[in-house]
Amino acid sequence: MIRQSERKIVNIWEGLKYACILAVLVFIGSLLLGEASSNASIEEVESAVTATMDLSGMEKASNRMMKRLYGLNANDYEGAVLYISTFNMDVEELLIVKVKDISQTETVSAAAESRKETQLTNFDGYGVEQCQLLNDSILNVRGNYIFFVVSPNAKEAEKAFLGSL
Amino acid sequence: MIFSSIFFLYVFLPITLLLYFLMPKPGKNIVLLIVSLIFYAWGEPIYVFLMLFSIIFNYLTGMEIEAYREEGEERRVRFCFWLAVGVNLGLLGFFKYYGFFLENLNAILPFDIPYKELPLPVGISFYTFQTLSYVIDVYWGKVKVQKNVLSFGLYVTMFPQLIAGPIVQYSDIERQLKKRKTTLTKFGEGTTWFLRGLGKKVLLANNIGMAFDAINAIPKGELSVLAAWVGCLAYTMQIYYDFGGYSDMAIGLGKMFGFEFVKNFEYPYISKSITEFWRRWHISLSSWFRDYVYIPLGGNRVSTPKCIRNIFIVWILTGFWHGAAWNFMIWGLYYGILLCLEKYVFKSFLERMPEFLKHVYTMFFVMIGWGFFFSTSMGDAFGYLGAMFGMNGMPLVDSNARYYLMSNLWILVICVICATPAAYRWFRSFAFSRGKYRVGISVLLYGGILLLSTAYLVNATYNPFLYFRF
Repeated sequence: MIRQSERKIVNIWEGLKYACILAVLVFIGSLLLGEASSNASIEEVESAVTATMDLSGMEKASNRMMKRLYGLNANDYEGAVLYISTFNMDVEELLIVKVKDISQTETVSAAAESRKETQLTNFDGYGVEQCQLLNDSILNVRGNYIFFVVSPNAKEAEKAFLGSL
Repeated sequence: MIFSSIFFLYVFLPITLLLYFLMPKPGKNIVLLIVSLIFYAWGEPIYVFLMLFSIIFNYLTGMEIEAYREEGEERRVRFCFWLAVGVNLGLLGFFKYYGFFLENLNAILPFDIPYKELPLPVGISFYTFQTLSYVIDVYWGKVKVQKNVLSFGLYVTMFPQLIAGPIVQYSDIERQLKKRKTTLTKFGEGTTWFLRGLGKKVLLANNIGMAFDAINAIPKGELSVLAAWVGCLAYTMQIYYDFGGYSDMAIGLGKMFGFEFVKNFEYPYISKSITEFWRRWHISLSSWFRDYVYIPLGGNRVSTPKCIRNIFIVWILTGFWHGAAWNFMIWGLYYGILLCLEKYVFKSFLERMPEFLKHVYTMFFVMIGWGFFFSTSMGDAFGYLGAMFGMNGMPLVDSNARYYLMSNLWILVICVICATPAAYRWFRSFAFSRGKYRVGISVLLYGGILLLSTAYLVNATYNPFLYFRF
């Protein structure tokens, strides 16, 4: 009799164990159903976005400049491009980062937010147009891509970014 | 949440200590379990579910193995065991390697399989190895089954070692989960371990890490030989103080709550061979692979070809454990080759080598190894290693190299000195052997570390933790 009741308990444990496996499979499934990563190369995204922008007053920044302005190490990511204004009274910028690991998106987004705050502080009080552009800047995180733009054409650039993924 | 953050130091830890010490003995494990889950959920609110699954699943597996064994149903015991191994490794494999697998598959297929890369649950590599150690030890009959689900939950989630180890084997902690002593002396000892670790992480690793990041940001084609070596040395020091410091903090926190964790680092950079280096570096991981992979495969008690096979299996797995990237695999393979060469080819030659050259030889190969480790791809690794040997056509020394060397000379010298036991011996004799001023000097020194680290953490935005990604 005791043996039977013990067996019952073991059967309950076994049932619970399989229920746990089922629950974890459902959990993984729900995670996978979320937003997917894009396989588009960073060059493709870059050319789609830059086609919508006026780059005459901008230049492609080096990795060192990216580190200086954003604190980001370009080598840590699958791809990262930064365009900055050639004239230091302009605030137009474009940052596109393709991360290797989704957990990196937080760092990049925080870096973009922090850059925006720094620029707003720099131009606060005298650069009305610059502050306006900065306030209209767009930061968008889509799967494994982060997009940050400060430009009069920010909305078009964002549209091109989303279309290229 | 990381230990080297203002919130942890001044809010989370004091509250946890207060709750823990106010709670009567029977409730102490529950307090630790709850705060550990909060600690984990703080950064991983979704993945805490995965951890709860791991606790319940492995707990039930242990109970089942014992029940079936008592009934003499060995076939069911084996089934339960292999199912648990499969589920644990399956989860680790899925979260850590599925993106890597699909990426490589897409590279060879004529079409792309769309996939969503999931963020790696923090600490999954560490706690999966801990739960595996429990299931394997129960299966082997090395330990008794843990019948208290709260104690088992605490073993898996204990916040001091949850994020980055040391990987605590169940057999090492089994008794402590039930009975442990928290004395004032042990608490004080834990505090000194924690503060030394904090100093290593915040004052040394973070500072030298900035030098490495700056050098690594220079395009590989523009790196002079000296700049590349300075960068590599900076990383060599950063990873040691970053991971070693974090391990010291974990051990210290463990002591504060009455636990004794295994040492994870034992001055690895004073090693005189690669074999010795791996006896001193990330000891808990090496021990895990030794106990659960190398020895079950036959270890070195088999023929030479089989022993070589065992070494390679362990080292490829070690590389793979560190991350889903080819450079980690190559890094593991690199150490497999070096260890085989030391064991079977150059053993007598190395033994005859002058002591100083043994150190140079070891550090040379360890630093080359870090070149594979810190790179983000194989191309990146060969680019950097090529620069270290002047293969990019750059001169031996340039202005960048001079600047980075001179501006980081002091911190590099301090890092090198502190990597030897002499520095700690000196520190200890200074802090603990001054008669009646002993306590005052000790408080002053450790208080100084806390104060400096706090000042640094308040001001600096650079506070990464390298082993988070593993």
